[in-house]
Amino acid sequence: MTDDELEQRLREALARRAATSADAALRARVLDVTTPSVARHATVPWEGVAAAVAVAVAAVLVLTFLLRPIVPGPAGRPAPAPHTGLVPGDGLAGPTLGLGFLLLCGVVVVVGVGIVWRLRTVLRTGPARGAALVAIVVLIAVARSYGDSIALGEGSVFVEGLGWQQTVPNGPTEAAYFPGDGGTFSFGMAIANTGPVSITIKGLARPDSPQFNVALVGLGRSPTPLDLSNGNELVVDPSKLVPFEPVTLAPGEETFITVLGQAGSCALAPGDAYEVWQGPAEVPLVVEVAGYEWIDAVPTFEPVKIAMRKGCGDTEPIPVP
Amino acid sequence: MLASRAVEAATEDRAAVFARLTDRSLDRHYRLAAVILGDPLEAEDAVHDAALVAWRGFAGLRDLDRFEAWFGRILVNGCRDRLRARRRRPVIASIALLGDLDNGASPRVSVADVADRDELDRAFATLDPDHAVTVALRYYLDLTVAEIADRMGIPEGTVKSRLHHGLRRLRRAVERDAEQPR
Repeated sequence: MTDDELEQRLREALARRAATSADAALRARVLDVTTPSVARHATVPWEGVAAAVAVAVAAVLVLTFLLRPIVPGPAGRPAPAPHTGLVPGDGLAGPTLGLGFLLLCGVVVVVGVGIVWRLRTVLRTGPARGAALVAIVVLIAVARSYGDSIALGEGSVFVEGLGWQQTVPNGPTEAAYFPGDGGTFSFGMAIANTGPVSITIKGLARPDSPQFNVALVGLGRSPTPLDLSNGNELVVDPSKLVPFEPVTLAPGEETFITVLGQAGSCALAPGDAYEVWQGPAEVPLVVEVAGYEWIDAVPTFEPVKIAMRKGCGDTEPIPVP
Repeated sequence: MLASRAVEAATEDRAAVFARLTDRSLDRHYRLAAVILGDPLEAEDAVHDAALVAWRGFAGLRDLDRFEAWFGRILVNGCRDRLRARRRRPVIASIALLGDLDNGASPRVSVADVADRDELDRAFATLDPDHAVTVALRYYLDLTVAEIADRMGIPEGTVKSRLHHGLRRLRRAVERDAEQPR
């Protein structure tokens, strides 16, 4: 049989399959779709239902997140470490992409592509679109809760440490640090996990650009359980601290960190007349959830004021180990 | 109140236009559905469902001159989905063919003609839904490759590929059937 013969026979066969014409009943039935009652009863507004469900789920998630009281839980208890004192470079970390996380991403992508391919017809339907919308809203809500300075929040405890001077001679009534040229300073603060899942603090983020005038150079912790009633300065004195160790916080849980800083050549020393101040407004921490690491900047509960000479600026960056 | 009446009037106008456009091409669409599905009753349901979908989206159709192609695309997609669903459940019979035979549509139909019709009909029914729709648009509606691509929302290369494989499968089925002793 030639191609032409096949095509000709096919045309004839298809023509035979064609019904004569639409009868009056079908015509009436089809043209009736524009009447509101038919449209209302014949179709279910799946997309509207799905959108309503999505909005409800998102609202519950957001309200739960916003209204959930932050109840301080037991502090993280890393294993005891030898008492070495805190020195610059301790507790520094950089966010990395773990192999396990990359493998997980790969599996998710492969499975996702497979599901999408398998359901490529179903995905065109209203319910699937609604479900996708719900998923996107949930993802955005979760991702939003882990935006910059969102996953971790500052706790209510802030303790000044080395170099801090409560009474400033011959100056405004501002307590400030007077570490002196190249001196160190320290402070401690409580931080809380304000997100919905457990989060691990890996360390202080290593700065990715040169630091002038003031730099945060180390993260530590007290080798003994914190007891603020015994004198605040004691627990943030670098000589009495040990390097920070990663700690995992459950949602709402708090822990106490101590930060070691180093001043540049413009810092005023004890006894100097106060001029201006400069200092870190936030502490960049490397945090991790399910293998994914990023830098979360936690605001300091109190301003860390390092007394500086007016109009002075370092020309050489502060070395960070 | 006035605004509500204005909306009502606009909806009525829209419904009238929709009804006019649908009515004008209803026969063609119904026949195409019957060709693709091979079942006049299911074709009626397919056309009705397509009309429902079309009416829901009619407000978004900017160019009314494209109505027939647009409606046809909805219908073809619906027919294809029905074929896919049908493949997941047993095939009962080719009602169109039985209807022809019952009515004695052509007194000159010979046994060989009926057999040929059987072969092609059976072969067409076994085509993949995408292939069946493409073949129907090409050899029933006589659409060009470009028109089929536009109607189905797929590249022209895909249309050619589907036609090629569809025809090859039909030829094999017909030849295999012809080799069997009658």
